[in-house]
Amino acid sequence: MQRVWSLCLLVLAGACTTSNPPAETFDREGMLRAMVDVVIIPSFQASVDSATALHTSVGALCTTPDTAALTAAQDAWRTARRDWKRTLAFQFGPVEELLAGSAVDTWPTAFIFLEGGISGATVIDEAFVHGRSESQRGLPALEYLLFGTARDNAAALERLAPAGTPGPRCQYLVAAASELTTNLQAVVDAWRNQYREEFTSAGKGSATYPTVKAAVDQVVNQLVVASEAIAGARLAQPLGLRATGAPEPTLVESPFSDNAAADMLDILQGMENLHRCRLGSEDSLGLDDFLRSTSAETDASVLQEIEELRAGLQSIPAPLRIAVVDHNALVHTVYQHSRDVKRVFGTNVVAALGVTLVFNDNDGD
Amino acid sequence: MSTHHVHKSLPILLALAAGACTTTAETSTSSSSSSSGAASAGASSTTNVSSSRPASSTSAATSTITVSSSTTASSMTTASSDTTASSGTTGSSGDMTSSSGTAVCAVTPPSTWAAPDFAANAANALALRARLEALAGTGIMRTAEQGTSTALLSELNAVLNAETPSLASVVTPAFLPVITDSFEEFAEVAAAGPVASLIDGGGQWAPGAAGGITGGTGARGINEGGIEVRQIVHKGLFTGGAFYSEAVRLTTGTINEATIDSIAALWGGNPTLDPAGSKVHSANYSFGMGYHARIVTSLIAAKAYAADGACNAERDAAIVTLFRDWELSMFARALFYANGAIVKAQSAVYLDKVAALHELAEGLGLVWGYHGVTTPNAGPLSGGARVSTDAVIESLLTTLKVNRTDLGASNLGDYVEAGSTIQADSAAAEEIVRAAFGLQSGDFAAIRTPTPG
Repeated sequence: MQRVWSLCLLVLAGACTTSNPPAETFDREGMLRAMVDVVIIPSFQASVDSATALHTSVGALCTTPDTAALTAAQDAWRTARRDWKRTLAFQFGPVEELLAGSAVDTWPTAFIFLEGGISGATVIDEAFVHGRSESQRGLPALEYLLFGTARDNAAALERLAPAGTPGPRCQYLVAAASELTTNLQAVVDAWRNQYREEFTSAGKGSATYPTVKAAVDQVVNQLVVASEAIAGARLAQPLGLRATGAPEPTLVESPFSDNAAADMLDILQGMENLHRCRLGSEDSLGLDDFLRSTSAETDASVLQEIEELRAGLQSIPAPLRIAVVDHNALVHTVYQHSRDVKRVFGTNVVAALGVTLVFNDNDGD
Repeated sequence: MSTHHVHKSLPILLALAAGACTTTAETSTSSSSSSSGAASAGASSTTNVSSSRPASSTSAATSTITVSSSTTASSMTTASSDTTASSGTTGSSGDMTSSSGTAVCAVTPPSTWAAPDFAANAANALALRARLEALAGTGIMRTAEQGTSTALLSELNAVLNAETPSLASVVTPAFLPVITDSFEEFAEVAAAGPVASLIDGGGQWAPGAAGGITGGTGARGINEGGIEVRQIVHKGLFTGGAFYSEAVRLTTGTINEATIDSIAALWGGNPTLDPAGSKVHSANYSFGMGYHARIVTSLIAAKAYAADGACNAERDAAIVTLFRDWELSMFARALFYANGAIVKAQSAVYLDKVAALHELAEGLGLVWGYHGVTTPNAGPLSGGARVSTDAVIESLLTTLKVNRTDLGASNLGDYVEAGSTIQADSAAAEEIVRAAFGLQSGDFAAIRTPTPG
């Protein structure tokens, strides 16, 4: 407990000081159930579906390696990427316990080790990929193979299928897509079979969440983590704010596909989905309703800050790796918006809902 | 326990520093150098490292601590004032004189830091920071760990010696062999590549011939001795191994406002010294231990006093305070890591064990760099560039199973085995630092669970 308090203070002094808890009249248990059934499980299922489609697509590519098949596989990757990024706001529970987060999305890709592994392999299948380190698996590794470091489709195709014949990189591509699907399916299965009950029985026998507040704390803390994921690793780092202050374009996420801004927009979309408890045409009891029961002003601030960050991200000329240099001031402005989103969740929402905030003591290195 | 308790010992140190100022004020003000002192750093090369540094021994710091244990902060102030009066320095304002007709300092430091010319004044310091990041921050050593670049010995040395000013030009002679050994170790670790685990099925440390890159997403390059080598290079260089000692060197010549900007940059501060903004290197770790605000206060004061020749004593006292806080916060951070590693090293989770070795290495780098930092023969730090002595640092490293001359022969891997001595060794390290800095046993609550700021 001492550690928790001290770590809280590390980032947000006073944030741990829970304010007056909101009235108990709000149906928090109903909100938790809605979050799982309307947003969390359907979102992870969407991620499985698009990963499965990606697996099919890369299979087709490695059967008939041509530009059309490569482009289709790249599009399938972007879709799978989108669906996965939209789950970041609720990547707790099974994602952590199964270490799925690192298996699916560790970046940068260790392409030197990956290439070394491929060249020394006799059999490349899903088990082989599963035995590699996280930075050689998942969506970033698939991105490296599909797009290539040169961002040149002809070159990428030639590396996958030299002289038109699918090679070991194609085998790795298919195996990695299969392993991705397996990992994501395990997350959905865990949510459906065990964790849904664990989460929705908070305060009523749940071992993980002895109180409803503990589950609400989990949700809000993960929203803060997601907002920090945008502000920190995805904006501050390439802006050089974690180092010398000079832009570091090589540190953008998804550098080979130039998908970095889309990644952030999808993380933000997932945050909003969970906050509003809304997905597609489904709209249910969410954190927004809970907030409005105690502080409508805070809910309005959340939505305003999300909108401002979204508009900012959309205003950045693609790709981000060039924008951090050529449009540095603009990206800095967007970074400030991302800090505002983090602040509104980490301070305003925390205070309004009486949440206990927990931070890790990562010093950035 | 607040962090203020830690500084019960600071008045002692400050008093000592003031004593040093008394004897060296004239030397300091009469010395000549470039306006910021940074230009000479830029002209330095690898071969100039030894010759460009004062050769006075480090024993001054030790004797200072012993002699002044009964001195008070108030006596420090008195001594400083006397120094100013006797030096006959004329103030900037004619009516700012004492009853005896000597100039007195009439400057009141502002409450906020202002450095509109930070980029120009601290250009060399900022360039050095960029070189360090290119080597051991986000650059080659990190990308080699991440598997996106190679890190051959020749490539590492090339980055160390690249551009002007180069990192090599400011590495202390004492730390250069550590860098050399670290590079050799790191090249071997990188060549070993990724390894799933450095521990065998029986829970024994089993690093193979050279260790490897491990720890999942963290991707830490850990050698056979259990040392995450990059941390020794990175942390060692931004503290005593290069940046701290370079900052000490800047105090040996003319000290003006630009000099203070450079010192702030070498510490790792951003142009506004905003704690909520970007801060790197030592500043980031000072912040983590609750010393950032104190050091900023000293920088503000030093800069304000540096603008008025009647305030040299006050300026020098502020400089001594900031260097003492800089050093102490690094040692405190090292203890924080050593304490935090106790639980992680004994965890059943492999990634926790890797995290323990990572944190231990960070702490070791933070203190190791101070080994061999020499006391200048002029300027406010001529009474002692640091509080820690080489003997203290050697004792710390030995206690924490480091082989100073061969990193590969270190035994930190023992700590992640069952029944290790990490708890006892961490406690012993605390005792070494407690004795060296004159801390109270109660101060360690604030070190183990610091309040950032």
